[in-house]
Amino acid sequence: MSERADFFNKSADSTLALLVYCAVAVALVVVDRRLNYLAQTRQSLLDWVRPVWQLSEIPARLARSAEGYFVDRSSLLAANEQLRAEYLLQQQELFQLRSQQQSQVRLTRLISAIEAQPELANGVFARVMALDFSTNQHRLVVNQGAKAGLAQGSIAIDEGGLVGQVETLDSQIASLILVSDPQHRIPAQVRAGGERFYVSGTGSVRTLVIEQLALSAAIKVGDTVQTSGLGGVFPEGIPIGVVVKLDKIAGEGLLRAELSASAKLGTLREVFLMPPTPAVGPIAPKQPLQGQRK
Amino acid sequence: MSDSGRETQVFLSAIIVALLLQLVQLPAPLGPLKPWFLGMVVCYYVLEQPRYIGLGRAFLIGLTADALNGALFGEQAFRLCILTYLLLRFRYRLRFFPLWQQTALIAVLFFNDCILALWIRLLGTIAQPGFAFWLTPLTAAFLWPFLFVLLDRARRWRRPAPRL
Repeated sequence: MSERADFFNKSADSTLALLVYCAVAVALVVVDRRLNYLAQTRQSLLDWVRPVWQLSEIPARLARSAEGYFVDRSSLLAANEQLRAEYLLQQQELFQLRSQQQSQVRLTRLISAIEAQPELANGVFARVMALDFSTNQHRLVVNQGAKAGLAQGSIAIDEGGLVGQVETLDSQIASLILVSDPQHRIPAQVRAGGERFYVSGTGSVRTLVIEQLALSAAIKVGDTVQTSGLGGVFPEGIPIGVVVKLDKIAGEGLLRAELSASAKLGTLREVFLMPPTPAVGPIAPKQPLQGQRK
Repeated sequence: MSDSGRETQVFLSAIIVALLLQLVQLPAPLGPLKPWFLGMVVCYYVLEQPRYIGLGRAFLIGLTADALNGALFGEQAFRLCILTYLLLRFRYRLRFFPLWQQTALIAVLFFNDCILALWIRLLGTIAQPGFAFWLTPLTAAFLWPFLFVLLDRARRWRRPAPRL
């Protein structure tokens, strides 16, 4: 009973105390946030308190590591699915990257091949837009034309060797006839011996052929065959191919040589085009394709 | 160790655990529903052992909690003072309520506390809580009987049976 009476006596005091405490608390809030006087104190307090926060993070960290052991199957499957999708996406990106890398390598080789021959300096690079490798004609369309200084008879090379020459063109694009075209004949010679002949296409992008060589011709397997500079279209010295096979044509006293093309005709992406060599003199402008058609 | 020494230990550890629980991050769906553990522990002590908690101590505990949370100085101090005052006021009635009625009153008290928290946060211009904040009185009420029994057990643990 006395405790009860005591409480009622104290209750007036406690109301007053409540008011005081609440006023202090509200004042703190206002000073802290509205007036920003406590920013410094708060900062130093946070430094003290940080270890406690780390302590309080322990359960969460434990829970997270425990999660690794107790995950339900469906979420594992979902995660797996998602990872696989990401993997495929990245795989695709990787492929793109690799192909870009390859094209960079090709371009670098092409550039260094051109830099080795200063007389080729006024040519242009062109991207391959379309290919036509049917059995009786091999054509290539590139994205440069007369605007870039090309003309009928401009020749195209890649980093390996001769690709072909411009057959028709307009201001924007040009169509090339490739060395591998069965109707294309190129005046050529063996690099080492200087033996002259014509190289023609076979309709296969890898293989070129020299028909009707004399049995006595100074040529053997492994010889590099290059343009001879005769005929006025192709400058001398551009590699065409390497002899891979020599056959005797039955019943005739003649040889047939098979060459593997130096230019990577099957995988062309970009080519280097140069205007017909002016050094050749008057023959080239008059008959640009002279000697190139069978 | 004397009874009162043990009691003090239990009281201090309960307050410390409550302060830490305020900081613990619960998993995502439960996070916003976390009740105000500190308020619950203070409630218990005001009801069962008021010699540990008066307005002054409630204020100090609240300030400590604010410092630990690093959010808004005075917020929890203010809320704890009002909670303590109300409980002290109705202590004699509440103590003799059956547990379920007590629980219902706790829910009401904590709902009131939510409104106070909202007001003081407005005053302090800090971010307003989301909808789940208004459900915390319910979680507090749900956990109240467990907390009550737990603290009762902790206080009476290995203590000779009370002589009535």
